[in-house]
Order: sequence, then structure tokens, then C-alpha cells
Amino acid sequence: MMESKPMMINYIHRQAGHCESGATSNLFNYYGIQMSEPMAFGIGTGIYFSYLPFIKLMFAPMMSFRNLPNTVFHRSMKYLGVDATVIKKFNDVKESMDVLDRNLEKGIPTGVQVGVFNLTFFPPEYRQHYNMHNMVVYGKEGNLYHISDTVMEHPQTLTYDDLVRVRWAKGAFAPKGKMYWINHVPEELDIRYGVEQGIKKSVYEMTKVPFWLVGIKGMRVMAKDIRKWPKKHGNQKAAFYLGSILRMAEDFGTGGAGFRYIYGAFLKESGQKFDNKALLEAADLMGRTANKWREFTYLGARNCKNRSSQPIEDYVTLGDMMMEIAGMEEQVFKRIEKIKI
Amino acid sequence: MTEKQDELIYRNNRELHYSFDPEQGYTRKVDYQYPGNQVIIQQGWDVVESRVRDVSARIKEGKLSPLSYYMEKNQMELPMLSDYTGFMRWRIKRHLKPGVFSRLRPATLAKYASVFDVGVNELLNPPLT
Repeated sequence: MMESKPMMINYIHRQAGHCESGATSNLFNYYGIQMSEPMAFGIGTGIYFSYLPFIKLMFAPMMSFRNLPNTVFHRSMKYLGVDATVIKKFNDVKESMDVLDRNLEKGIPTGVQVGVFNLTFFPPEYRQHYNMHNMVVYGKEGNLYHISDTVMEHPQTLTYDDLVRVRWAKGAFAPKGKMYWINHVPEELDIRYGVEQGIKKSVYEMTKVPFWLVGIKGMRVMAKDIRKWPKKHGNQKAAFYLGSILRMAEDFGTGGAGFRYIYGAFLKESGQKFDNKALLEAADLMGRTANKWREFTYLGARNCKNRSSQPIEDYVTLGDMMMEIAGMEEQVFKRIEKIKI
Repeated sequence: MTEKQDELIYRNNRELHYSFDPEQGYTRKVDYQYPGNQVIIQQGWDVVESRVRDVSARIKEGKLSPLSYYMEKNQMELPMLSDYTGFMRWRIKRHLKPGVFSRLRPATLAKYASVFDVGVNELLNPPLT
């Protein structure tokens, strides 16, 4: 291997609730734009819901509380008119690492999509076959890469081989070496336009997609299914399915309650910035919705933990709760649907 | 406080959590996963472990090859292992038979060992539970 002199970019690692919006916000900050994580998340339309019971992920029905990988970065750059590059995939391992090295030589902190199963600095309990994780590489010393992973409290390092391993993880949503970075940020950013576009897109995705498993509609379908789980699958499997909802909603790097708090914080910050009463109201409602999500996960966790004696009633209660949450989220998006900022 | 800390199963990394209070608005704090959720995380891993135990029992009975142990341990199903090794799925399926597995060529074994990140010796003699 070629010996090269150490390269370190003066990049500031700040912890965040969600990996991709955290990386995006830190990248903005590196280029001198004050951008909080919720703002990046909201403009990049991170919020989402889909429920795909016919696809099993880790033996449980698949659901998602967030948008597809790279949506947050790509859309926030697009809506704010920032010149950024995304390389969706490489054909060759060596090439993917060379391009990264060249970026670091030029002093460009670079985001990469990785799988977490072999991510050596992750605690063991995080390490599942989950390929939609994001982190930023900001330095190289000999064989060691310096990494800012916003889920972790502190900056980390990875060896060349370990980085190759996670960038070329296999399975669903394999990253295939995907990387992205900012080229140039214009002097004046039209945040107002970005917020407007972001909200418009999220309203569409949460309430108007003509498919019954996406957005609020998907939440209602899931609510109905939850009620039926103990009868249909038996107690043990129902508890496992319920556990998987909770793991998706509360686990590592969601900021809590399936990203609903982060989105609420975005509405709040935008509302304050542009002095918009409707946004502030929506932020408040989103916060209450997120708290309801939290209540749902608390109740679900207690149910999973104690294997309750009257499971059927409990699952009906949980299903009703999910219905209520769907109604509340619908209110939020109705409130911001025709908003003028 | 000490009592609450004792309940925690995982104390490797503190994460950033957002929360909302109708009076105070949005706040952020860095902390471990709350205890209730840690139980759920553990239950997920318990399922993995029980699957490993099941498969271990069947290996001892001579019905499955050690390969199945490492597939469960690494939570890999056929398609994923096929992606990692480059072997066809039907071929991997055959390797799950003890008789076929014991006659594999060293190169094939080495490939499996490198994917599971173990030595060849360990691959042939998994630490069954």
C-alpha cells in the first residue's frame, strides 16, 4: 500500500438523534452554515411511514419510520440549492476507497453509507444486518480513517479493511460503496424556500401517496393488524412482532418515538424563524403525537416484558392507540398542508 | 438514581434523545436507552440465541452441518450468505448436510471462515450451546 502523509480535516463531531440528518447538519456546519439536525431532517423530508407485512425483516413484518437512505442529504441539498455530489454505487472496491482518499486529500469531509453488522466501534447490541447507516469520514492517518458517527458520543476510527467491509456490506439496501459530499455552498441560502418544499413533499408522502401501506393509511392498516396478531399468530409471535415495532421506533439513532420528536422540533424551529403561528401549532401537535408514540412503546414494552395474562384485550388497546396516533398525525399534516410561509 | 442505573442492561454508548413537554417545548439530552426499551432490545437478541440453541441441538444429532450454526449466529439467511460468499444458493443448501460439509475442499472452507471471521478449525468445531 502507498504510504501517504496524514490528512486531517478540521471537522466538528456533534452527536445527533439520527445518523443521516446528523451527518447532513454537521456537513453544513463545516461549510459555515448554521443548520441544526431537526432543520436538516425536516427540509430533507426524513419523516415517513410505511408498513410492508409481506416482507419479513429479521423474521418480523417490515416497517419504516424514515425515508429511504440518502433522501435527507439529497433533498436538503436540492431544496436549498447547494452543489453536492452523490455517487450511488461503485463497481470496484479499490476505486471506492481511492475516490474517498482523493476527497480527503482535497480536504472534503465525505459521507458514506455503511452496514452496521461489522462496524467494529459499535457496541455489540447495535450490530444487526442494517445497511442504511451513515457516517462521515474526515481524516486518514496511515491505515486509520477518522470517522464521525453521530450515533456515537465521540469520534471514532476504522482501519482500511474494516471500512471496506462496512462500505461493501451485503443484503437488503446494500450500500455498494455509496458516498456523498458538498462541493460548494452559495453565499445566500433560501431557507424559507427549502422549508416550504420540504413540508410540501412530506405532506404528500404522509397523506397523499396512492398506496394503502404508505403514510397515515399504512399506520391504520398496521393498527388493524396489531389487534389481530394474538389470535392470528399466537402469543409468542405477537409479542415478537410487537417488539420489532418498538425496536424500529425507539432503537439506536431515531431520536426517540420513530423520528417524530425530531420532525416536531423542525416545525418548531421553522415556526420561530419565520414567525409563523400555524407551524408553531403544528409543532405542538407533533410533540403531543410523539408523546403518544412514546406512551405506545412504554405500554408495548410492558406487555412484552411481562407476557400479560389477557393478551387479546391488550393488543386491542394497542391497536386503538395506534389508530389514535394515525389520527393525530393526520391532523398535523392537514394543519401544514396549505401553509404559506 | 443508582437503582435506575442497576436496571440497565446496556451501558456502552449514550445516545441523543429528544423529548417534548407541552410547557417546556422540545428538549434534548444524552443518555442510555431507557430501561423498558433495553428489555425489548434484549428480547430481540434472546430470539437469536434461542435459534442458535435449536440449531446446535440439531448439529449434535447429526442432522445439520456446523455451517448452520454460523448462519444463525451471524443472522444470515441463504440469499445474504450467497451474496457474501459468491456461492449459489443451492450449493450452500447442500453444504448444510453434515456429510457434504465434511468433504468440502479447503478453499471452500476458507471462504466460509473468512466471511464468518473465524479460523477454519473453529468453523469445523463450533462452540455449540
